[in-house]
Amino acid sequence: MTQTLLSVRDLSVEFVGHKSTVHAVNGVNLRVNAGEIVGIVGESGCGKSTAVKGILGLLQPPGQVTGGEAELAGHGDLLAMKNKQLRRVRGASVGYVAQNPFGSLNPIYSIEVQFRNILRAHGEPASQKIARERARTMLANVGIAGPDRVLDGYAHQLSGGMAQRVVIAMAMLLEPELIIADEPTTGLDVTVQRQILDLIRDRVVDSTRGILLVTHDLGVIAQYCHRVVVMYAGKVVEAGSVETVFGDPAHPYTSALLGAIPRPGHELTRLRGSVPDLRVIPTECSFKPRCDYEFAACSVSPNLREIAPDHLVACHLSERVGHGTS
Amino acid sequence: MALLELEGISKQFHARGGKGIVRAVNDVSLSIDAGETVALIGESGSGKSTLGRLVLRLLEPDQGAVRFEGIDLTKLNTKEMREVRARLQVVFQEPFESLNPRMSVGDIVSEPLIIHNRAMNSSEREIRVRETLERVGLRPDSATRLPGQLSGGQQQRVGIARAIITNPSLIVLDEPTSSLDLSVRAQILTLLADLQRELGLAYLFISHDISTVEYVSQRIAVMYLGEILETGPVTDVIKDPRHPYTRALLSSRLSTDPNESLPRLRLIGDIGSPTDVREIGCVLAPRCPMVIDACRDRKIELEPFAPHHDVACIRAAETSDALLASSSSGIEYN
Repeated sequence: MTQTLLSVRDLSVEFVGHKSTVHAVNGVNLRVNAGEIVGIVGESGCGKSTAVKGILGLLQPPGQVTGGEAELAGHGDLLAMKNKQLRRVRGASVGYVAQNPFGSLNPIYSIEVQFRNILRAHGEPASQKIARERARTMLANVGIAGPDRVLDGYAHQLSGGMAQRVVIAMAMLLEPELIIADEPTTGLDVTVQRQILDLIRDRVVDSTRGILLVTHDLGVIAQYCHRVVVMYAGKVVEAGSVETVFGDPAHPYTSALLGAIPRPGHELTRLRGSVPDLRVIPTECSFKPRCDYEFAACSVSPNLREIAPDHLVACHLSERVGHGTS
Repeated sequence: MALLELEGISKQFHARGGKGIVRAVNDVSLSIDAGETVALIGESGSGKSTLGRLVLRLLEPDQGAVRFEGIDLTKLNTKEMREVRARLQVVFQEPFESLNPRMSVGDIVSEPLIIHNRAMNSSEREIRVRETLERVGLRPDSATRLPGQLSGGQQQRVGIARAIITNPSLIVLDEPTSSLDLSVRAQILTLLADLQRELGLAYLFISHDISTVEYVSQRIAVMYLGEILETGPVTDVIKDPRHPYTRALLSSRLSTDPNESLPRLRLIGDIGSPTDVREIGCVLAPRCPMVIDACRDRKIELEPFAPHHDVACIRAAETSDALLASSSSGIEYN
């Protein structure tokens, strides 16, 4: 029986302004099992980064979680935790890797000091010697050949790929069961991107650990994830195994995204219009204005429902027999 | 005669802090025919954007000639160069950064006409601007709006309108879709293809994205640390890449079909620094999994491998399988 590491139910996030409120995330459900890499994919503004920041309690005001639960196995609901408790869990049980590694590293402390500070913040009393040894092991584990040189150095001396490896090593230091990585390879060159993704797949995930990977790159999902959650306008529109969702997409938005990837000899899918205004909560399906398949039922916002084992979709089309989108 | 011909152009910069020299572009030759799309592909630091700027003469080459419509641009004075610029245009990566936020869309798009078609009166200009905005898929009334009021895709359409309004024969497209979302990128690529067909434009398409390049271009030049390592018809180069760097770049592509896994060729470590490029020997040698001593001994020149397909590698003739086998030593980092 697979163990569920993270189970998010009905997560909502709002950004409250003077005149209006942006409903950035609306009732998102997802789960990550041990041994899995789960991808969240969507275009900019769909709420994928906001959702994971909400789960981790890392939203900056005016952003706030307005509802839902995020159950972390063995620790309870992250969203209900007090700050002090959350700080203990973050790092120790959930690691976080952000898009820009240089934003996660402190420019004025050596890398060694930053490793030591992580141990200290989590009350792991260790001599400098032991702390350095643990850091060195972690750096070697992420494929850094000269860990001593890196430990004695500073962030600015690292290339983008090396810096991201250091941040992944830091996220793994306390051996959390879950790592949330938000576009971990987006700023990196393609040849380095694959090295980092291989590293995540081969060294970070094992039978007791899982990853939640946020990306806008469908290729990353197809080649590295087990399951995928497709988001549009703050909602999950489709979720399931990568083979099912990519091989037989049930939501017109998923089909359109897959069709927008340039392939010689294929006409590109052109999605008309643009993403909806998230200041108003729509009563109709948020994708309706851009959808080629809309019909009467679409004036009511569809719920996410299971159309096959482990394949969820929020589209009225899936209720009609014999209407595919591909 | 080619529309654009680069002959042995080089550009060096002094590194920050005065230490060392950056060889941004090193002895590059390349040609583009009328109506053709040539893609320049490479990772950051490969010199592809510098090469684009040299073509536009936004930078002066240290050596070599840039011949456009038969004229060596490096010999022209400012006034003569300005006349050429109507026929040689550019679209940049970041649409918002390249549009003046205080100018209306109409003013931005009509500015090239004011500079290049002085005889045109303002009502004629207004008609041309409206036509051009419609041509790139913007509503004519968007002329009164400011760039900040438009989406990223609409901003890039403004950039394209500004480039085509003077009837150019060549447009340098410097990562025109890299900052755009997938669905918007598809719209812009389709627009660029339509414009090329209707207006007979040639494109120098600078990109790091292989699937985009494969989709838009007829020929491709692969750059690494200031040098072209492989060039040829896009189908030949992508189906049968001969340079280890091209192979690595192609194998870093992530197929969106979960059941298709492409063969891998891994380079060692990160892209090198253009400040410490060796005088002799192959620029890829420090990262190349199939490097042999001969690679470091002499300068490796681009040489014909097949008709129109040139490769700068002394092991170009060896089969992919042999090279892949010799590099399958697991995960390699620096």
